[in-house]
Amino acid sequence: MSLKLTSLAKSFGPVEVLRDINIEIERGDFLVLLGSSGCGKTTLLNCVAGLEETTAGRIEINGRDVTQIDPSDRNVAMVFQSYALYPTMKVARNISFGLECQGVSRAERRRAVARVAGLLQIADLLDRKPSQLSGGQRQRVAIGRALVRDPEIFLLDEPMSNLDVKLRNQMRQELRELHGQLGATFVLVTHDQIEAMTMATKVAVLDGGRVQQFGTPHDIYHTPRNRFVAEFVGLNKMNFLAGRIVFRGGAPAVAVGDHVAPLAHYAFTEGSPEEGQRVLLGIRPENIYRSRDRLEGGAYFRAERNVLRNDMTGGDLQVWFEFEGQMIACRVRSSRPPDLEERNTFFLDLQNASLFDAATEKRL
Amino acid sequence: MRRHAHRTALLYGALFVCALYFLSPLYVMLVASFKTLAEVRGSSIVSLPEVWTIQPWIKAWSEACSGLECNGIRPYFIATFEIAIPAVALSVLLGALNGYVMAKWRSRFADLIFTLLLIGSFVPLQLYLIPLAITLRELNIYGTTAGLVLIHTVYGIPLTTMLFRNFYVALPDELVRAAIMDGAGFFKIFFSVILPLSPAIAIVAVILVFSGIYNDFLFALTFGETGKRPIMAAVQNIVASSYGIKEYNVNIAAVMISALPTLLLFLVAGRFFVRGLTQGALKG
Repeated sequence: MSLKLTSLAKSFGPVEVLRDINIEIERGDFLVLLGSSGCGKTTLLNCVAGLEETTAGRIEINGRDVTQIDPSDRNVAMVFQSYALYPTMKVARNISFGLECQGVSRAERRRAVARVAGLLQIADLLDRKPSQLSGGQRQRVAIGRALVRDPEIFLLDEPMSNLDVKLRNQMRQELRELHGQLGATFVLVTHDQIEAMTMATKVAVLDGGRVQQFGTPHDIYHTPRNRFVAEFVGLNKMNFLAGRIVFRGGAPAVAVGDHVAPLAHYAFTEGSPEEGQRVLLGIRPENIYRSRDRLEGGAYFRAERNVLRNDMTGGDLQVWFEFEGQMIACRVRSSRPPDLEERNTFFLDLQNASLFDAATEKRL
Repeated sequence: MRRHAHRTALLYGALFVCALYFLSPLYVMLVASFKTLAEVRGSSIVSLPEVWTIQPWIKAWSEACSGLECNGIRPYFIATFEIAIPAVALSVLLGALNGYVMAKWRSRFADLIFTLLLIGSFVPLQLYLIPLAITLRELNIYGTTAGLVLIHTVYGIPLTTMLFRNFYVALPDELVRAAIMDGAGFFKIFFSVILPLSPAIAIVAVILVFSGIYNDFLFALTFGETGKRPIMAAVQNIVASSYGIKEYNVNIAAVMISALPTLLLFLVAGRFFVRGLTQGALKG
């Protein structure tokens, strides 16, 4: 166990920013705290770093309770969103400043800087001031500053948000490689779900100061625990259909309007649903097909509709049609666009669909 | 195009007249200080000296009488620097420290204290005289250089605090947080991270505080050490000394000498002054 948060809470005066946070990750995990701005993810990171005091709960790093310990003694290092390089110091001193504060000898500092510079390929930048560096180079130096201290946990606060898209992809890749090389624990804060999906071994989706779901990227995407997570994750928003549970021959099925599909394949989280229970059926746009052959099981809705609108996104086309009073988005290959004049047949595959209680919005 | 040239000519003409207007007293003083006393009294104030002499300047520097002492303004000049240098250094350093605390280590009281400081610096100086006199007496430094250093340091702190605070507020908080993560303490952050970013604003503070102290008349006259009064009080004394005839040329030279340091400071550091006032805190 590398990092363990137990019933962590944080308030600023009367405002509760974090509530009952419970997260546990192992050494070598890459935890991403995912959420929109204001959800408390950066505050949570600052609490782990020790920059904010917690109101309640425990923080353990490597089995040691660090809740009351100074940031510099927690064996963590942080990369800030603005990089926060010391503007008056050269890159080398920026990297070694932490060691300087710890009273490490000059010779040893120089060795440590050389090691980090080699690892990040910034050896030729060591004599420059931060103002003479490009965005990507600054980012590297900021990572180097964290790296040099050889911490148990790396904390990264939206480290890629100031880079352009191309550089961001490259840094993402480099960060993953670095994570693999070091075998250390990473905690990264982001609002970018692609970043979360591509880099994380564990994702914690935060909203309203609570962990909405904590799990692998696969879990988060395919079995969202509530409607918020289902809606938040996924580049193309999940479609929601209002329906109800019906029983056919003793087995549960879902009915949306006149359409009924069996739920034999569906793994209910607790017990079986009730007859007539009102539900939300969540179907991702990529699980709606135009040919029967692509269906993964026997549970589906069939709809013959006119396409109302389509949005070109490159390789894919987002196609919109109406189904039982709802606008439904469907993803099709843009090389095979649907006929806008004619009716098209769509198959809404329920094999990978999610069911939520209509009132509590929790997964069934 | 022609119209444009006309307007430029008009503009520069007007500026030239203004410059002439403001410089003419300086010209009159300059020529008078190089005339003999007889010529000052006999000739037109705008005419150049017939016989150039630097005697008035020498006399003003080392022989002019202030009260019963006739050592010129030199001792007062030195006395002023004995007060100004420590007072400027202290109030700028303490102001920087205050500003750092107020901008980066916020507490509930920071804004209150800052407001009080601001109000304090707008109270007319005369109101402080009696409390200050009592305080200095109790501290046993009444009428000494140390007393004036204390007064000017304390009086400079609100201004320097305000300057540094406003400068430091614009520095990103993450800079301090990064240093905390690096294990730097309160003073280590101040001296290694914050202070090296401050030369521009420090120059502004030095210029403002120094010229304030140098031009101070009220405290100098009230609390100055007899025979070691700061320059403004001393110059006034020399000019007002009423034994025998008034030596206008010597008085003028004394005034000119006393005006030189602040003038030089602005000329040398003026460039930085403007930069410090206009610079957003941090680039890159």
